This record gives sequence, structure tokens and C-alpha cells, in this order.
Amino acid sequence: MGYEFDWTVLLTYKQLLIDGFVMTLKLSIIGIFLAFLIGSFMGLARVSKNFFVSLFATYYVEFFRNIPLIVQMFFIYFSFTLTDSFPFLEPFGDWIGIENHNEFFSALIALITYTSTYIAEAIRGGIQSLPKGQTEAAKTLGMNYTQTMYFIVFPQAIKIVWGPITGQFLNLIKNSSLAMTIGVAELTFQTQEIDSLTFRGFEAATAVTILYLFLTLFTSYVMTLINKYMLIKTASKGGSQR
Amino acid sequence: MSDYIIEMKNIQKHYGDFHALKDVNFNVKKGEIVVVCGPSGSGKSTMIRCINKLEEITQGDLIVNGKNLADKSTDINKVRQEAGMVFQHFNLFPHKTILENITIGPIKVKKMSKKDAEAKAMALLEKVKIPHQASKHPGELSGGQQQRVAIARTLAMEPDIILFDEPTSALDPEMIGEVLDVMKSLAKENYTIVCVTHEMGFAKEVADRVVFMADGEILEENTPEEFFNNPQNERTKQFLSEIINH
Amino acid sequence: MSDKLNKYFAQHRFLYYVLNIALIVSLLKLFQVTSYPEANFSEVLTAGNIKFMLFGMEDEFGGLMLTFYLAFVAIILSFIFGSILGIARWSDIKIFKIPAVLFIELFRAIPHIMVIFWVFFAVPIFFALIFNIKVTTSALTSAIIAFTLFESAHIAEIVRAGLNSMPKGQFEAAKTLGMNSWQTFTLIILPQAYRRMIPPLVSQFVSLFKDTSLVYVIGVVEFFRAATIINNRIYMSFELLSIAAIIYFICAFTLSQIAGHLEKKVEKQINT
Repeated sequence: MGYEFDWTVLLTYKQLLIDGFVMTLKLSIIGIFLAFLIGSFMGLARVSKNFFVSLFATYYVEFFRNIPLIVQMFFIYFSFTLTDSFPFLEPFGDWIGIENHNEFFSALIALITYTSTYIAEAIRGGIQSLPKGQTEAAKTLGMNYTQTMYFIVFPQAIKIVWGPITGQFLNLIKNSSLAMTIGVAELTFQTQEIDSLTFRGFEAATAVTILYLFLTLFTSYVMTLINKYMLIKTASKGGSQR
Repeated sequence: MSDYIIEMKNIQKHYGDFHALKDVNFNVKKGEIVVVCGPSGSGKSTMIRCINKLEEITQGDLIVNGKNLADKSTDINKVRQEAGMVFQHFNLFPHKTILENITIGPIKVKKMSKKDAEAKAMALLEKVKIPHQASKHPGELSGGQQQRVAIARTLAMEPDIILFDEPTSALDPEMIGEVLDVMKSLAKENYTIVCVTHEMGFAKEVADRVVFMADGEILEENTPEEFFNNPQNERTKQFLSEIINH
Repeated sequence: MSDKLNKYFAQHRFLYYVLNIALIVSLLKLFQVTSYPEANFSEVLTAGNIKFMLFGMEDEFGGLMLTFYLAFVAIILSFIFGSILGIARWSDIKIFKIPAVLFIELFRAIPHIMVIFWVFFAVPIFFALIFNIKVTTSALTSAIIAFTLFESAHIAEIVRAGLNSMPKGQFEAAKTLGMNSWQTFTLIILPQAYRRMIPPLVSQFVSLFKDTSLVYVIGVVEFFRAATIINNRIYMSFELLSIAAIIYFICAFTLSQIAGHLEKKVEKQINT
């Protein structure tokens, strides 16, 4: 009975693949950026001396971490019309070239809330693993809490947990594939599209897999570069004095 | 207004059930050099860390440079600028260069300009005899060098008081000397120094007063001559004999 | 104040657990009241619907029961396979290490639903191609295979990290007692390494439990799919998805609390 491979469908339908890749990129780039911001904030809030701030952050993390991402996406998409509740999303979506605003932003928000919890936990781990002497030394120089966090604790914590944070960024890229379940035309969606048009799901899946591999490897590489650059930056700053 | 720069009256400190400081009374005059010694767990580190509020007392009066630490209106960050601390494990900031380690306090806390701070930092590095290390990172320096940088970092804040918490205990023997030399030169200047240490030679040479603590209490304090030649308390005698036999 | 509270809750863990669940549910209720006042939970929570979400269709195995079943079967299979992979990855023997690396890196880089699609669609094609047999796998079997594939990649990494964290002195001590590799591993290294791995392994299990919702895409009627099927019939998505969210939250949160409890118990047996 055999199976006849037909790789030419990938050329015929390459626009679908490109569109899917771009959509995945849009979800990933905005998602990573905001998840990192919110995650950093929550991570810092988790270790705050203020009881209510740390309680809030703890519940945020537990809540958005224990609910599966797909459930979060569905919940936001089916329960709300985002463009009605947040009208600024409409022009923003147009500016980044999205057609189906509600689907895209529902998926994006869910991705951000879900991933930010893991980033928050990673950063909290980094902050807590820092030797107490660092904050004590900063205190003895008269630095207040904000200065200590900003100049001494946070920079070192980020460097310590750069690996796990990279892992979370990669997870976000992979998890963006779930957006297809609410109709966002990203890469995984296109696998199904091409399959339904040509019955060549195997070839389509191969192409998409390679694209995901490329995306994750590239992101890992960039993160490694940033890590090196951060070290180089701190080393040369002192040398340019006098 | 007393002429004591540090006043500790009836200080009690508890860690849960553990009574770390038992009714400690400790006063230091401006410009005085006090060495605090005693066996491990005697509370000497705890006491010195109460002075800059790294530890909080349970009871008693603590007045540093005229400011009551228990008073809500006291700005603790200001007090800490006036009472600098040198740690046993240096606690330099590994992600900053030596120069940045010394200038970060003056620039961010005292709002000094970068130029002034750096000039001052270089002068301090000259003083502790390692000006050529300015652009390196702490990880590249030896323990003795790191501790000297730590001292320079503390001096950059122009404190009135310098607190030393076992500054040489984590150093290899051959590096202790270089750090003690720096501390001895500081003793000749106007700083008030409270130093927790096992280095009895240092105490004999520069201390105005030696304080012996054990089990959370001050058991004896005297001038170095009296302390080492004529110890009164049994515990003191036992401690001194153990130290000398090494 | 927070230190005293933390201490209190450390001793009264069950109370902490119950309070958290109550708090989350009340927050959701508050949210519902303010933004969706017309929500009607009683219409949704009929006996028939509840039965469907818990147990699936009439003569089939489904619903929340299937979710747990899938999670357990997958974790056992991927634990076995992942351990082997992890040891192979950690070892220095090239013929074990290189295939292990390739497998692990591949399945860690591909999104999970893609793996699910691959197995569901590609396996029949694969068999048709190579063996010329027509094979149809049920969605559930495909799901189990897919989960085993990507979960064992994650577990392999946990195992590798656990083995790497073993102090060299343990290997050396075993050697000096005259043990061979097999004895060293089974008697000394693995027992200790697995104790260290308990926290990340349990958190991986919680992760797997949440991932069961993904098999929605190939039509397996586990809990999430059941909820969406009801939704397609009665169009009360806010209520249904809130229920789904709460149930998942309770299950996942409970599992991670149990994990924390286990962690504390095993803490003493780990030397660092």
C-alpha cells in the first residue's frame, strides 16, 4: 500500500508556512518580552518584605501555573470579546498585522500569564540563592531596599538563572502552538491546513518541525550570546576609567 | 549628650528561644579602638551586628552617633553610612569591578559625582596598596586583596565608626599580615574602631581596650596590658591559655 | 508578621491547603460576580453533565478518570524510558550517549501538540510505508505514545542532572570497596540520585497532568474535551471553563502540595 511522498506541496504552499512562521514569531516575541517583565515583577514581589505584596504574587503564581494553558486560552477567548473590553488592542493588532484580534490576543495573554509564573519562580530562586552577605554589604553602605535590589540583587539573580529563563522562553515558543486550538494561524495550524488541502500531513509536519527546531536553536543561541555580552559589558566598564 | 559614640544599655537579644545577648552594656568613646574577643558562639559577632542593625535587639537602648536605633524616625541608612562594616567573607559585589565596588556607595547613596568618587576610590586603593587592580573583578583577586578592597569600600563612605567582624578569620595565614597592616594604619587616624578578632597581636599593638565575651555576656574588659598580663575572670584566663597554646 | 504566619502554616499544612483552595474559589466567584453576573452554574452542573465530565461517555472510558489514567500510565512509561535515556545521556560511552542526545534534544525542541499530531497521523503512514500494513491506532494509544516520547525526554534531563549532582566521592568510595559499575549504580548511586530527583520529578508529573488537556486536539474525551463538548451543546462557556479551571487548579495544586510534603520527608536522606 505504500505512501508516496510529495515534497513539492511544501513549495506550492510555502506562503502558508511563511505566514504561520511569522504568526508564531509575533506571539513569541511579544510574549517573551511581556512574560519576562511581568515575571520579573512577580518574582521580586514574591520576596518582598511586605506581606500583602508577597501574598498577591504567591497567589498570582499558583493560580496561573496550575491551570493548563489551553484552558486559559479557551477561557479568555470564549468568555470575553477582548476588543470590546480593551479597545486599544484593535489599532495595536492592525499595526502588527493581525487580522483576528480576539483569537490572537486571547492566546497571547494566556501565554504571558502562564509563562510569567515560571519566570517569576526562576527569578525568586535566583534571588534566594544569592548569599546573604551581598544584601548585608549593600545595607552597610547605606543603600535602601530599592537600590539594593536594583544594583546588587537583581543583576546577579538574573545571571544565575539565565539558563532556566532561557528554558522558559523556549517553552513559550513551543506553547505558542496551542494558539491553533482557538484558530490562530500559526505554524502548527498550518500543518493541519496543508494536510487538509493536500493530504500530505507528513511532509507538512516535517517542515514545521524543522522550523520549530530552527526557532528554538536560534533563540538558545541568542540567549547564550546575551549572557556572554553581559559578562563582557561588566568587565570592560571598569577598564574605561581614568 | 554623652561623649560616647556608641552606647549599648541593658541589651537583650533572642533568637527564638536562644538568648544570644544577656544584659550587655557596652560603650565606646569617639576615636577609641576596642577589640572584642571570645570563644565561638559568645555573641560577639551578634553584638557588633546590632550596632548597624543587621540584627535587631529584643530589648535595651542602642544609641549610635547620637541616634537611637529603636526610634522610628531614625534613618537607618544614614546610621549605616556613619558606621561602616568589614565582613569576614568580604562580601564584595562579584558582578562589579573593584573600582565600581568602591564607588557604588558614594555615587548612589551619597550622590557624589562619578569623577569625584573615582578619584577618591583610586586614592583609597593607593592607601591599601592595590591601585593596579582597579579594573579587575573580585574573583580575580586573592583573599587578602579582596579584604583590602572591602576596607577601601567602607572608607569611601567616610564613616565615623568602622566595625570589623572577624576580618582575617577567612584568610590564608600568609595574607593576614597585609590586612592587619591596613587596619593598624587606620587605628592611627581618627576612626572609632570596634573589631571582633582572634588576632591578639593586633589587640596588644593598637587597642585602647580589650573586651572578653562568653555565652552572650561581657565578662571582662580592660586595657591590653592589664587584660593579657592580669586577667581577672576564670573564663578569661582559660580562653587566653587556649589561644596562646596554639 | 509573615514569618510567624509561615511558621504556623508549615505546621498546619492541611489548613493552609484548604484555605488556599477556598481563597482561589472565592476570588473566582468575585470575578464572576463583577464581570459576568448572569452566570448560571446550576444549569451547567446537572447530574448528567457532571457524570460526563468525570467519567466520559456511556460505554467508554473518559472524563476526569481518563485524565488521571492517561497521566499515570504516561508517567510510568516515561519514567522507565526516561531513566534509561538519562543514564545513557549521562554516560561517557559514545554509542549510548549520542543517540540519547539526539532523541532528547529533538523531543525537547518540538511542541507537545506537534508530537501528538505526529504520532496520530504519522504512525499509520510509517507502518504503511515501511511494513506495508494498514495500521490504525486509537487516539488514546497515540496519546500515550506521544506523551511517553516527550515526557521521557524531560525526565531524561532530570535524571542526568540528578546523576551529575552526585558527589564524585560516592563513586570513589564504592570503587575502593571493590564494587563493579553495576553494583555501584544499583546499590549506591541510583538510590541517592533518585531521592534528589523527587522534587523535579513530581513537578514534571504535575506538568504532565496539565498537558493531558492537549489530547483535546486528537479527540480523546478526557476532562477538558468533555467540558468543551458540553459547551458545544449548551453554549455556556464561562461557566464550563471556570469549572474546568477550578478542577484543574485543585488537582494540580493538590499534587504539588503532596510533592512538597514528600520533599520534606526525604530531605534528611540527601547529603549535599
